[in-house]
Amino acid sequence: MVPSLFMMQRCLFPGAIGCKPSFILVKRYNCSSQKNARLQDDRWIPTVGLEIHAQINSQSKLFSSAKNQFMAPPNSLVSNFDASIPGTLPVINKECVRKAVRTGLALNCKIQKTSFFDRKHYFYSDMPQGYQITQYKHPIAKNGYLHYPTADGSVVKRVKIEQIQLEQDSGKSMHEEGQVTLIDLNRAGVGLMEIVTAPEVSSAGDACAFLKELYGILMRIGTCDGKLAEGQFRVDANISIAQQKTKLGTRVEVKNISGFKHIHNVIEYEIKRQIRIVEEGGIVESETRAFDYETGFTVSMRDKEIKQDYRFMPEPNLPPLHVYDDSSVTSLSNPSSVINVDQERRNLPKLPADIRGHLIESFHLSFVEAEFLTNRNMENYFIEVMECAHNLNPTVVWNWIKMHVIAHMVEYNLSSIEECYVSARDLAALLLLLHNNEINAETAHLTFTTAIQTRQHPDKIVEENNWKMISDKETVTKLCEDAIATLQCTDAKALSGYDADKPKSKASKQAIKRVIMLVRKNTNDKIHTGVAKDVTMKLLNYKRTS
Amino acid sequence: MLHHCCRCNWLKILFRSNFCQRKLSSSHFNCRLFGSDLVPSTSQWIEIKEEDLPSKTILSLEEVRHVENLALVQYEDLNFEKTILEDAIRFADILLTVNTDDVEPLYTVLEDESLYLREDIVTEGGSAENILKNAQSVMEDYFVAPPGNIALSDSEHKSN
Repeated sequence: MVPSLFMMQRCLFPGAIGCKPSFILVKRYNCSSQKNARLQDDRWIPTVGLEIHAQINSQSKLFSSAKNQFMAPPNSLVSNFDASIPGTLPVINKECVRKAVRTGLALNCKIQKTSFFDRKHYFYSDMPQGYQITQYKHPIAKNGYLHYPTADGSVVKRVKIEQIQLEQDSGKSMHEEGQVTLIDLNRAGVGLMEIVTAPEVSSAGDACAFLKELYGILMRIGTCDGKLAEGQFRVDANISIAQQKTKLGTRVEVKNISGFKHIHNVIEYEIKRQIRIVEEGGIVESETRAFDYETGFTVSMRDKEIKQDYRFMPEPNLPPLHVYDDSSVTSLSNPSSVINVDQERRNLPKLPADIRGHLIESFHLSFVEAEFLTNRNMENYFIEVMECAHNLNPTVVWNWIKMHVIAHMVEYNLSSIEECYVSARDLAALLLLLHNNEINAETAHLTFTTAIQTRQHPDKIVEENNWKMISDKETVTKLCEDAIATLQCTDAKALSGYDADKPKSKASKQAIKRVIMLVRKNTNDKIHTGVAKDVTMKLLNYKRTS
Repeated sequence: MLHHCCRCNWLKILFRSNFCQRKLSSSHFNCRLFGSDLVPSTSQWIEIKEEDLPSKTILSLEEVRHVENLALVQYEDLNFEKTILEDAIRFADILLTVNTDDVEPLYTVLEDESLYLREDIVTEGGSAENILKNAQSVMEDYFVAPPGNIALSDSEHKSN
């Protein structure tokens, strides 16, 4: 899909009475070809605020102990509380609180020692209570930030995290031909972490970069499984445009977008739509829009939503949520019954940014290479290979992992690097053989495949199959000398083309090739051709000069 | 800071002492001298005059309709509903005469309690039959509800 249709458009600013009309270059493009499309209009500054709903991967739901599972027969994972049967009360899940605290710490937030729950009232069939239990005024974590890399790591940007709150997910509704809606409450009550950013992101590209980094962090700390197809990571985008950086225009909200590509499309489309409206003299309406996955357009909802008044009120059935730290937990009789923030901080694993930094610093990998390993949780495998064989070139190791190890994992349907049939130590041994010219590239690949099939150590495989190449300088030199001598006797013309000043010319290459062919024949193909080529060239140079 | 115990006020004037002068704190309010409770023994009526209240809130019919939408209730007579609502708001206006300066809002009477954290184990759910028992309309194990908020389709954005 070709994006370019340049148009010169004559346009007046709304309200710009007496101003000269200005000609603007407007680039129109098809939304679905995102790679080459760039919004080219410097007068409008877009602002994007994001609200991410990440499902907590706990066993049971947030306020009830019904099971948290995606695929299940309809309404089979619903407790009485989830169905809002009278006489039921919420009981909070400790694991959900722990994961929210963990997420808050990973995003540099201040964990609130006391937080409260509120009710957010609105009527919808998939929410039987008529309200959602959330944390509106006093969430569990506030005032964090996240640094995220853009432009292949060369630019690092920062976004403020306003707050992280615990809240309930709603059930699922399926619309049948505009006649009825079918409700499945399996998802009703599942724990969500709502992560709210300040409106600081200024483009679709930045938004996606931020979300990818956030996603990577949540995966790494294990608080969300991030299965996009199951709706475990949903994003609401609040998009507005303004002419000055300090002002904020009317915002339009697009809810429940899943998938990074879609998020990019939505934000770009919406910015473009708002710019077009304003430049045609209209006013952007404050509304909530839906997103059409197929076309990439945002569309207005059918029922023009009445201005929602959520009538927030404190949840009367839930006392304050306390979390503790090392000093306050000592006074408790049962410390394991509460969450200790200091303990959670100690248990936090290394975050993707730190891992990438370590790989780049210690092994001089590029950002893209480091990101590749980190995103697939393969950094430890890589590091172990490098530690077993210090002399190896990190890029060679990386290439090998990228091409052969990944191919193997795909073929054998392995989900994590720990399941790889070739351990890091074995791969190091294999690559060391290659590095020392004891085997050539072709044999290396063969050894790798054999190692997968037989689970044997590469050294053993090479030995058993007698794949070791002759590569020590002395032997090779003798063999080449013999071959050259033989050729000079039998076929002097073969070597005549060699020109020491032009070793890469066709004739020179041909000469070398003849020598190598003979050596290979003599050694039953055991000669390491790379080494032999170098040696042959040196010998032929020497012969010419002597 | 002065406190409201009527007996102690009388005492204070008489002895000019600081016996009952204590900081107003939410849980430690105790007049040691007479050991009187916070709760008076006989009902104490304070008359609030109409002039002390702010002006009566008058609702427009639009606002009444808005409240109807939010609460999903509907009276037959909109004007009657308007009167009821305005009187209800008026009744609640007496709360505005209480001075709440420097007083922390009481979020819950359970403020000294701590939320109990349950272990993450599955013990409920599993029976769709039970959950659907009270439903008026069921279709293949789904609750049936009227059509909800659906997005506009092609017709809208084609004109864009």
